[in-house]
Amino acid sequence: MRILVVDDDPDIQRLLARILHSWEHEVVTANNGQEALAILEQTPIRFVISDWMMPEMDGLELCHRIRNSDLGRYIYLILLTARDAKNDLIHGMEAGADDFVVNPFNRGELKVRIRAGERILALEQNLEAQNARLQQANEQVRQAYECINRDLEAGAEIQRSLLPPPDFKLPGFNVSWSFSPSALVAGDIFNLFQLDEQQVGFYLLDVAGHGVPSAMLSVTLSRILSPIPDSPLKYRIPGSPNYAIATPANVLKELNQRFPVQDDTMQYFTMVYGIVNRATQTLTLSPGGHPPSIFVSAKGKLTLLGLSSMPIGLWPETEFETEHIRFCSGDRLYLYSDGIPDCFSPDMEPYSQDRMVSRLVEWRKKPLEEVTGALEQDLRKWRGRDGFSDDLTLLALEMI
Amino acid sequence: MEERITVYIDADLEDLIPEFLENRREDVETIRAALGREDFDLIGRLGHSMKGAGGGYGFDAITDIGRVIEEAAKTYKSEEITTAVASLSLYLDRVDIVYEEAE
Repeated sequence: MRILVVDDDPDIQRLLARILHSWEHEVVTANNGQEALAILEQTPIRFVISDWMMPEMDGLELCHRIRNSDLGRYIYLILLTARDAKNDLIHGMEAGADDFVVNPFNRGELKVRIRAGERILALEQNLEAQNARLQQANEQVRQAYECINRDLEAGAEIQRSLLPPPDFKLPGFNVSWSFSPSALVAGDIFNLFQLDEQQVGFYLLDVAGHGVPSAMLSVTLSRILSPIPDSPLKYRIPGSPNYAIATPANVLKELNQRFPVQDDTMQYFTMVYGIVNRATQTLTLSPGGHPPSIFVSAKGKLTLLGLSSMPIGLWPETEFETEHIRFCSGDRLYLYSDGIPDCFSPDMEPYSQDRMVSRLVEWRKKPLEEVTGALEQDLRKWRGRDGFSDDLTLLALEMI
Repeated sequence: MEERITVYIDADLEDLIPEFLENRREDVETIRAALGREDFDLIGRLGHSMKGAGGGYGFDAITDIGRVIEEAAKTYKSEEITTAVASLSLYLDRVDIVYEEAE
């Protein structure tokens, strides 16, 4: 090990150098504290043996300066002192000396004290190395996190692109929605589309769980639930018009067959699928374990549709119900996911379906876009603090 | 016949000894001159150095003399210093060194 010997007495300097050499240490010498500091700043020496009484800067001062400066490594310091009074020991320790050897020193004693110092230095170096490794690991984690975040944002983009575009128009209807994922990617998704000249289909679904796995299933389902031939929504038939539109109950049935839960992921989902026929002014709807849809007639009459039903994917034998209701001009239908009624206030009170229903009835004369905005605001006020813990999704449809 | 004083010194210090003893002979002269000027500071420092180095090299007697000189200088005891320096001079004349390998 390289040792810096600091002493203004050349005899002691030579003696120490010789002894340390005999123990196979490399020796660098300095005549006083000032020189010693300069050397420590230039060369990465970690072990210092210094006399106490020296001109320019004594051993005590050198000690202070070493401890108070940032030399980038721990430096082990042994003070040589002819002063063995207890006070001096205390001053030395307070200044930060690691050990003392009384002059004239005993060779054997010096040897073991140096050994002890070497052990402590090894510990310090280990610590420094560990810290460096930790910092590296931290940096890697940070980078990975950034990467994951970027990916999640990309995922969120994909999901948003599957939703109806902001300027979406459905002839004969007013449509409005609110979509606030709790994290970047959502387990909720919805859509509306023209099925044929008279019929409009729509759905809102909620995949159990959070994060990427749920989002991936929601994207898959969204791609499948497109009104193209051979999808669950439209199937081919021989002869004109070549395809038929599946009933809501059959759509849910088919999805239930196609997407059974895997034991390890337990990814079931809840859903509402409905079809409005503008010609017959009827709404047909099939619920799949989803919170009841809220129907508010133009006159303000409230009907809850789909009060109890099974989620999709849990049991292959599930039979799905169908509800029918008249859907005329001014009537409104609201689909939503449970993030809304289950939104908790700071006092742990849920927003609740009742509250939601009474608001929607209260606002039945408000233009539809304003209703979704007002409900969003009401929820934020209810929540009382930033960030929702679940996806908030609301889809509103009004017959013109 | 004068008494010789035998001192056993670690063999690995052998080449340093002549210079060390020469420095101590110089110290004798320096201290005597300093006494004349009453420069007790210098005397005290030399005593302190001698005290520290002596035993390290293997000359316990030099450490003892150094201690006496350092203490005496603090209280300006010229006579004690003179005596101590005389002892040192005598010691340096009579010392015989036997080098032995370290254990």
